[in-house]
Amino acid sequence: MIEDKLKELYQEFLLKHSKAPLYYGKLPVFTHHAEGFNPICGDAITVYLNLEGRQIKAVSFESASCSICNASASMMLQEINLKALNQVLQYYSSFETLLINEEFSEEVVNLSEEFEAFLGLSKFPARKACALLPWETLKKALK
Amino acid sequence: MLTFDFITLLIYIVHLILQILSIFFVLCVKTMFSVESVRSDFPILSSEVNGKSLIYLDNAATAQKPDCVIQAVNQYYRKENSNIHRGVFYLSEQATTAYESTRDLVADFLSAEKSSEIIFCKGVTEGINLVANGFSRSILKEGDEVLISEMEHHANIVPWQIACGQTGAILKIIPVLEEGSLDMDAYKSLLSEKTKLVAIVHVSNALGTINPVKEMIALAHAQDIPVLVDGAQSAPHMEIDVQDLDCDFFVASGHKLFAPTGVGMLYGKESWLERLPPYQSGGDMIEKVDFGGTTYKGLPGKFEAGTPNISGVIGLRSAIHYLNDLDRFGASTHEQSLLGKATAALNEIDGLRIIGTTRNKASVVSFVFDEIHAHDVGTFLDAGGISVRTGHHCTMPLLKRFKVPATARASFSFYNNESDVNALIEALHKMKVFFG
Repeated sequence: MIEDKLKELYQEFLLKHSKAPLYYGKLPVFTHHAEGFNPICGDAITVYLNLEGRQIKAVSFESASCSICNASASMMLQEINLKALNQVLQYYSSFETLLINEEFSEEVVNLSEEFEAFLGLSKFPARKACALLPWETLKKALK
Repeated sequence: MLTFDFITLLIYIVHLILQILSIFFVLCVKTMFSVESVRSDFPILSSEVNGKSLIYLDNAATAQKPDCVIQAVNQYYRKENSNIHRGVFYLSEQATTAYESTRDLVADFLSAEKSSEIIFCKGVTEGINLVANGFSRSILKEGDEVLISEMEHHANIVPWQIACGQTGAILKIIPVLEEGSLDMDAYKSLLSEKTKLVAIVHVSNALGTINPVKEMIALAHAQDIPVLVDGAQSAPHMEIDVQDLDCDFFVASGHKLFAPTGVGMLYGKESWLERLPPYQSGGDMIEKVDFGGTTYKGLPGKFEAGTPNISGVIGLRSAIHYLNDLDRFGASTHEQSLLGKATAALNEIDGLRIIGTTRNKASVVSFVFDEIHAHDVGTFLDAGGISVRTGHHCTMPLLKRFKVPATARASFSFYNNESDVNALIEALHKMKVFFG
């Protein structure tokens, strides 16, 4: 069934995140920000961070993007908010590993379980870039 | 006796009339357009995607290839492969003849006056780069202007940005109106003694809009301004007559014309091609090479350095023969009917908006949903075997003008049928429920 395959990709709470993303809008005060763009599909996102030293104090994003990108941004910010920078970089590499290995292995256990939802992307390789865009933009903002 | 002769004559005349009628009938039946008959010419159309029959609606990106084109390329590599313009041996002469006869065929296809006005290139992108490079090196000066439009493909924007950057010329833009047509009043006022070239798309790949290029060329010529027409999207849908259009340059890509990828055509008026310097240099484009100085070949060789895409040109030859045998009027009428049906059905879907609503359109329809991003539309349709393009269609300034980050685009060829349109509409309705 097509719908079954699609449901694997668009899991309930991914859709929930995408329809009502957390941390949406521009932070009134921010120390770091970056714009990310996927030239293949036109997804565009801006990530805002407010840092105190090496600690994230506030996060937000704005976008004109597809549901996978929006859900990924929302979940990413939920994960990294109020965390230390070295943890954030670990999350980044875990998420990348998750997409490459296509399994929720021990290497990525520091991510919340709900990130398992992104395993649905394994059948839609072209959409992996959508999920990765917020993370790449985050990394860019921190450079 | 007289009566007998009269009856014989009458039988003879009736027989003759019947014969003429039968020949006429056979000719009509042979050439009359039938979608089911052309579908069987394209092997890929009987394949499956995601367990569903392929419904290919991305013809504006690239067209599928008829079996005759696939066979021609295959045959070339199996039995005819050799380089052109080189050896005196049998195969090389055969390949050279096939290559050069395709030039004649392309000249006829575009109604050019001379075969030497046809330059083979990789496609529209390279064709425009060739002209932009020549203008940059020999025509454009600081303060000159190049005029393009807001609906150009990146291939007709970036080469001119670079040419202007190198020369100090200024790129001017014809705005696009809300329904997706060009602002002709703005066009007229943008033409001036500073304008050194107008480079304009014939049919918009993102909107389907057919631009009034003949009228635009006449307006530019009234001020002695040459015009380049980007025919990437027009050549597959309509017959092209470069002499009637009176354009100075016309470019088209083979792969959108049912030929292989990596081959295309640039038409240039002889006087212009003579004036422009060589684009790339090396083997085959020279007359005599000496460390004291090198002389170049005349047209068209001057613009074809190195071993060209010979198999691509052979495939192109087959594709043009295919199109020449096709009832193109019937094909175009069929495409317009698909466009009409799709447009009407899309307009019935709540939350869907068509971008590009001008009346004069090729069979391309771009649309967006209020709540669903084009990328999600594309993935959903693909799961049902339906291939559409999603994204900015290499027309980022145009999408910015319409304030949308991306659209979904269905583009129909003559081999698409009504059930393809119905499948698209049905899948979009299902999608709305899915993303509810």
